[in-house]
Amino acid sequence: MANMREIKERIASVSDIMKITNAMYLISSSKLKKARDNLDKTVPYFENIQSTIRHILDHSEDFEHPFFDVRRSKPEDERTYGYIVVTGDKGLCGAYNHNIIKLAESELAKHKNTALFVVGAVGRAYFERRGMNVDTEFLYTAQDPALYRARRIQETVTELFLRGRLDEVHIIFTKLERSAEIPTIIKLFPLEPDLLGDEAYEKKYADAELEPSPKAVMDHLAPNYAKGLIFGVLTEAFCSEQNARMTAMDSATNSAKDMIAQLTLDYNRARQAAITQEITEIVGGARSLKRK
Amino acid sequence: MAKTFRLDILAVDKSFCGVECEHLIFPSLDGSRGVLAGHEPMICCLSAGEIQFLCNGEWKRAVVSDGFIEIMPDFVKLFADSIESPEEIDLIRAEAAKQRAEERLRQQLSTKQYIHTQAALKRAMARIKGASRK
Repeated sequence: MANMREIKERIASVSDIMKITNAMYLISSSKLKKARDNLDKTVPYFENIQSTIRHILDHSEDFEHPFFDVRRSKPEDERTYGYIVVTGDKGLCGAYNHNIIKLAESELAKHKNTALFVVGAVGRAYFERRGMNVDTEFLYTAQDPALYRARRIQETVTELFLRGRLDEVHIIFTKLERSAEIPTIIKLFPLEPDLLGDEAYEKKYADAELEPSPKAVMDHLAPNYAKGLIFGVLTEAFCSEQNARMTAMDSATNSAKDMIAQLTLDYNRARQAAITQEITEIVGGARSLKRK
Repeated sequence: MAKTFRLDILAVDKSFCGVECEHLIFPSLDGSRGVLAGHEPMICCLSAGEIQFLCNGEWKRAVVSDGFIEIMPDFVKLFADSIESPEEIDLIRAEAAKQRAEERLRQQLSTKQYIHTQAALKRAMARIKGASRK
């Protein structure tokens, strides 16, 4: 039978941890509410911008533009694949960071030359420790997504893409679908009309005019689209992180409660056993005195 | 009543409005443009400034920053980084932003910083202009 004092200490430490997990649960649930509000506000933009881009690409004549340059002539070993990986800034959120890192690693293993742009401290620390090619000046937090941050990120990758340092840019982030977090990859650059175009789509209107000139419009539109996309991704990832943390902390609190219940039972049993033993001893002692 | 078209105005952080509209005026890269129903399909860039749209016989105004606009004969979608109605604009904040941007412009800047600052200045000016015409 375990020592009573030990069990008591154990109960105290479990309940201390439970206080922390419970507080974290409350914090992340209130943060989630806010993040979800923001997400709901960006979703119309995010969805519309994707369908509009497809629409625009369908309705404009073929033309050459750096953003559409697939660089087919470049052999595979010379191509560099850029990945924007969105992780959390902190741990204690279940498998959220683990899942996204796993997906990123399996993706990175496919190509010879890769460059990583990591948002969030956990992912950055992980990939740096692994000695991966992480852009060290790319320091962005995953907390509270803001438009200006999306703009900076977009500028960084757009510039690298246009200069030919990156040949493809993908974004790896966590999508929130019916309160389940799903790690996802989307392609950012180059823009590919065939990939975006879906077969069932019917061409309703005549070709659209690009004013003032196709080049000027695309020069503007592509970065804008990228920025909108990145912002949407950051918002969604932040929301997923909070959701993951909330679920993780909720289950931690619940298992702490179960543990305390079990430990209390053990404690009471130990106490009972100790009392019984004492009584037996006293009774035994008294009886032996009587006999004398 | 004149012919109308569907106008959706979407900002990154909110969908500003979706209305039946008769006439839309927006600032493009090369000056103001007007759109009526049945306009030829066109894709155009938006620069920071003020948009006006006529719905139910009433002109409404809003201040937008960079973005783009998709015009089709029966609908128009306008995408911008931010959209505010004149009542929402914080004039003091806009003035402060303008001053800050002007101050920064006086210093020696890299090209990238220069572009950032100029964009910020333009946004602030558009806000001030939109708000002071209340």
